[in-house]
Amino acid sequence: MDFSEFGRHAEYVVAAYSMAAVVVAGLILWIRSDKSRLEKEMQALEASGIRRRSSRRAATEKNQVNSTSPDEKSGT
Amino acid sequence: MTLYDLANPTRFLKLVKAVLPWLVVATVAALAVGLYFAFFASPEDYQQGQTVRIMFVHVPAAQLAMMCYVMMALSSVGSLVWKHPLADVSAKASAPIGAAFTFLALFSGAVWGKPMWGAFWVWDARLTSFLVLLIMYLGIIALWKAIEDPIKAAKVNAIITLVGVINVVIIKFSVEWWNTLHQPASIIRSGGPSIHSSILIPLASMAIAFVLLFLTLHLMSMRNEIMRRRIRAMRMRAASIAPAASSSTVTKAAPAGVR
Amino acid sequence: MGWMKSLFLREYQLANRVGGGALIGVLFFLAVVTIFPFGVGPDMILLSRIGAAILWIGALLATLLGLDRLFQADREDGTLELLIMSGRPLELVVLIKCAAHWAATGLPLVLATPILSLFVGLDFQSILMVTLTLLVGAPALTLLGAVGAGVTVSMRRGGVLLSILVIPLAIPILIFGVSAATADTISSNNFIAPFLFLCALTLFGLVIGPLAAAAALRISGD
Repeated sequence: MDFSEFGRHAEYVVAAYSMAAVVVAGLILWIRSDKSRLEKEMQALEASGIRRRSSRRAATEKNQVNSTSPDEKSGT
Repeated sequence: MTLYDLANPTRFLKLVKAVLPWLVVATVAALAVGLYFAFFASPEDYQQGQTVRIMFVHVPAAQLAMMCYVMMALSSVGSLVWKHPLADVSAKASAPIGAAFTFLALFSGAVWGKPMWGAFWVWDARLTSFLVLLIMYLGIIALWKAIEDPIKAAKVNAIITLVGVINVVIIKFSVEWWNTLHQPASIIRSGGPSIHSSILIPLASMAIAFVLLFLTLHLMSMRNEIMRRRIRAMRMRAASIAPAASSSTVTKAAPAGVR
Repeated sequence: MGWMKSLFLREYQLANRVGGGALIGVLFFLAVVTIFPFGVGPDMILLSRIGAAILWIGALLATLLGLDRLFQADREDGTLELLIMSGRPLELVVLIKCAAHWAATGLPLVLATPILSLFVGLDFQSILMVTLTLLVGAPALTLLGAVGAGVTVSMRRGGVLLSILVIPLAIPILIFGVSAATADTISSNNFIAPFLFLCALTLFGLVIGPLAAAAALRISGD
């Protein structure tokens, strides 16, 4: 296809495709920035000694809070 | 058994990790093929000229907008009937993606409508239905944000989504009925020209590309959501053990401050 | 049966006594209808053409206005918990609450419609049709609104979100209501067909409204 004779109404085609690109890129950027933010938060929490309940076995000795059952407050 | 230690989300994350790279590759490949066909290997329409190429964005976006709602409705059934956390996560992850593609369908429809109808917006039955769909998506997103407890939010959203899915059918029917009542019949339908095979190939490949794109985005977004919930659970644990660890008293009633 | 009657009376009296009751809804309805001519101009011909739509939109807004308090007041003072724990079917409780709410706010709107119709220049037959469609359609608005009220019950400022959630659900009601109300004559097919659709929507709301609202209330209860 020859772009020099792109035809009339070309601006509408360009507008539609560029908005599609903007929307998709926006979604990807949003999801990725969300991911890196969450990962940072997760690392900060893990660094401060908080473990997920499933990976707690190693941490229980250090944490001295093994008295309460981890299953107690389920479902939050 | 606690909710966040269910094996499934963990197994799901492993699955996502394995599948996602392939999905990204497939999406990019399908998009490349679709765009090639859309721009270089499909003829101009003798009536619509170049604007027919808008269809290759508009129709897949519209189809995806509806697919997202179907995904949300199915997930809602999952979270109401089986109370599965992954279903909650899936429903929540679908909503913004669906809203984005509904917006894209509306935008490309308006841009297509300007040369075809002479106006960016006409109260055509399909455009109107999609506008209502966009409002519903945005309302659902707002509802997700308004309720803090993720499990309650999931159930409440599941109810409104399922009421919405029944209503979408009624809205579609009533809007079409309303449209034939008020519009002169001479308006060109947004379905465009009758589907010719030279149109069908780029249309189908773009549709496949968009579905793959949705799957990719949905999985990425679900992974984020699972992580967000884990962080929340960890925070709550930290809040409930913090006073006990510091003063070793039994007063674990007030998880104050640590937020 | 006794509990249903006493629940209805309680709800009806509360709705009437708290915050001005029926009068405030009708007042709002009057205010909405009054601002329309200021917006579109005092052209009686134009007003009589869009009069039915003005009245319907006014009624829709007036109904939405009071909906956020449908379950919220009961949740705040603990009545809702008692109702859930009472062992009575919650769907029926919701239905009775909706009926009382309709009797306290919807019915006065319908009764005020013939008078307000005069302001927008409707003739006798149009007045009859608008009133009839509102009589049939207003319960559907309340019932579908109850879904939104149930879903937003735990929110402190759920009123706006409730409206955003309910308005899409109310679009079919508005379409068929206004279509029926703007038909040429009451015996024509243009009136009968949308009017029957409107009746169907009300019956539909009668089922879906209590079911969904009760489910939402149970979730917020635990």
